[in-house]
Amino acid sequence: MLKNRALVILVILVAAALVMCVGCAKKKMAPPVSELPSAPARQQAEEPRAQEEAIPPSFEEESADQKVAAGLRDVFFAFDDYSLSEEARTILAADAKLLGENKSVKITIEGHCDERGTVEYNLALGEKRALGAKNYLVNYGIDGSGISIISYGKERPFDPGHGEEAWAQNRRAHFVVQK
Amino acid sequence: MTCGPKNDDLSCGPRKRAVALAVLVCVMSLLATAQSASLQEQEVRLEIKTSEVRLIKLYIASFVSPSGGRAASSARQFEEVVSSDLAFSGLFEIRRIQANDVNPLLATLKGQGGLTEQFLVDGRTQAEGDKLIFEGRLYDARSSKEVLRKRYKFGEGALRTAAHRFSDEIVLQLTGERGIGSTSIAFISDLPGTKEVFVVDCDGNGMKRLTAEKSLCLSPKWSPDGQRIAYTSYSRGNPDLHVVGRYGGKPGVLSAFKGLNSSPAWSPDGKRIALTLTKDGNAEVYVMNSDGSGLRRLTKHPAIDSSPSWSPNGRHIAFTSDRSGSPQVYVMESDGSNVRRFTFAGSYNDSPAWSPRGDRIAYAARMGNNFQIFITDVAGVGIAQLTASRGNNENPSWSPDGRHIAFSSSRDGKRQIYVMNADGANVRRLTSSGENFGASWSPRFDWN
Repeated sequence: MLKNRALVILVILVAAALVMCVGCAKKKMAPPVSELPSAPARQQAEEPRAQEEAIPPSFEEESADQKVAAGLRDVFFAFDDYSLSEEARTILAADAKLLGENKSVKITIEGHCDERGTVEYNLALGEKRALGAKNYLVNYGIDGSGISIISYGKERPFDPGHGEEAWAQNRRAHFVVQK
Repeated sequence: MTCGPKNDDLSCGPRKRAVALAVLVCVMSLLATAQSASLQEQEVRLEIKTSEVRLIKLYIASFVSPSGGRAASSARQFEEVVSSDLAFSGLFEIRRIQANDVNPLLATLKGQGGLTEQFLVDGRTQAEGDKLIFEGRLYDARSSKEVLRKRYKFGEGALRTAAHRFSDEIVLQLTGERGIGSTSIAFISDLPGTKEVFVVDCDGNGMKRLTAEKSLCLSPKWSPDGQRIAYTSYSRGNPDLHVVGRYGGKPGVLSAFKGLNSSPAWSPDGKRIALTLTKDGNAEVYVMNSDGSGLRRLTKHPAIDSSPSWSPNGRHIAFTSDRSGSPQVYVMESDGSNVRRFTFAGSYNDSPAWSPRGDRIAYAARMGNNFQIFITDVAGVGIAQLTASRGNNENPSWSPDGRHIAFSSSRDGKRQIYVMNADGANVRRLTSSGENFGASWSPRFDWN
C-alpha cells in the first residue's frame, strides 16, 4: 500500500513537472520579447513565430500541381488507331502512380491526331484516344472525376510539319494539369 | 465602213464568215483540249460529261455607259462580274465581243449556227445622283428577239451584288434554274489568330468574318434557307454546337452535351439537324430539331459514326463509320434503319456530301499518303477521281446547282479553299492568306 501511494505521488509529480515544463516552454517564447532591449530585435524574435503560424494552407497543393505537371508524360498512337501500345501502357502506369501520390491534382487529357484524315473523323478519334488513356488510369485506381477529356482532332498539332516525324508527334493523348 | 485586209470587224461581209468559222474552230478545239487534259489527270472509271446538254453559245457585248465618266468604269466592272459568273457556270460557250452596238451584232448573228442556241447579252449603266442604274438585255440571236430585260438601281458598293443577280437571271432564263453567281461559301479561317467562321462570295470576293469566339471553330454549315450557319465552337471549354446569323451577330447554342457536338448537317427542309455526339460514350449520329429540341439517336454501334449528309429528298443519310475496321461511307434511312455500306474500294473513305441532284455522293478518299476527292453515283457502281494533287483534298461541298464542288486542299502548303466543276475541271483557288478549310456552299438566297 505504501508502494502504491508512492507510485501515485510519483506520477503526479511527473505530470506536474511535465505541465510545468510545457508552461516553461510557453514562457520560454515570451522572455525573448521582454529580454531583448530593442524593438527591431523584438520583431526579429517574433518573426519566426509568425512565419510558422502563417503557412498558407494551399502551399502543399500548388507544389503537387507543379510536380504532377512536370512528371506526367504524354502517350502516342499509331495512325487511325486509339489502342494503347506496350510503351503507352508503361507510360500510363507511371502517370497513374504520380497521380495516385497527388490525389488533389485534377487533369485534362487532350486527344490529338495528325493532319491526315478529315476534320470531323479526327475529332472522334482524338476523343477515343483521350478516353482510352483516361480509362487506363481509372482502371489503375485513379478517381475518374478528377480527369476530364477533350478532343482537338487535328486542329492543334504539336508539330506543324508534314511527314511521318511530325505526324507521329501529333498522334497523342496530352496531359494538362487543371488550375 | 470599208472592208479590207486590216479591218476584221465582224460586220464586214465575207470576212465575217471566215472569222466566225475561225472562232468556232478555236473554241471547239480549246474545249477538246481541256477535256482530254482533265481525263489524263484522272483515273476515270466513270465518264463524267462536262455538261448534260450541248453548250449554249453566249455572246457578251461590251457594257457601256452612254454618258461616260464614273458610270463607264462601273459598266466595265459589271461586265467582268457577269462574264465571270457565266463562264464559271460551265453552261455556255462564251464569246466576248468588243462592240456595243447591238443591232449590227444581231443582224450578223441572225440565221447563223443552224440549230445551235445562240444568245447575246448587252448592258448599259448610267449614274443617277450617287447611285447607278444598270439595264441589261438578253436577245435570242437566231430571231433577234429580246427575251429578258432587267433594270437595277444600286449604290456603288452593291455593284457586284447587282451583277451576280443579273447573271443568275440570265441562267434562269436560259436553263429554267437560277444561276449560282449570288451564292457564298462559309469556311473556317485562322487569319484572326484563332479559327473563326468566315464567308466569301463564290467568286472569292468580299471575305467577311462572322464570329469572334476566340477559341476554335469548326465545320460551318449553311441552313437551307440561307439565314443561319451552324458550327462547332470550343469557346465554353467543350466542342458545342453554335449557330450564327448570315451577317454575324451574337451566336446561339444549339447543343452543348459533354463531349463532341460536331459535324452538323441540316435536313433539306431545314427542320432538323443531324450531328455527331459522344455523350453516350462513343461517337454516334443523332438528329434533333433545328432549335435543339427533340434529340433522337440514329446509330447504335461501338465504332466511330460521324459526318452525316442528307439526301436531297430528306429520306436518307450518308455518314462515315469505321465499323468495318477503317472509315468508310455508309448510307441509312433518316430514322437510322437499314444501314448499308456505300464505299468498298480503298482503305479510308470519309466526309460524304450528297449532291443536291441526288444522284451522286462526293467524299474524301485516302490514296497513298494523300486524300483526294472522289464521287460515286448513288447506285454505287461508277467511281470517278476528281483531284490528283499533292497534299490533302478534303471536305467536299456541293454548289446548290450540283455542278460545282468546293473543297479544301493543302496542295500549295497550308489548307486553302478551292472550287472546281463537278467533273474535276476548272479548279480555282478562293483564299490565299492564313489557313482556310471546312467549306460549306450556301443555298441560293431569297430574292426579296
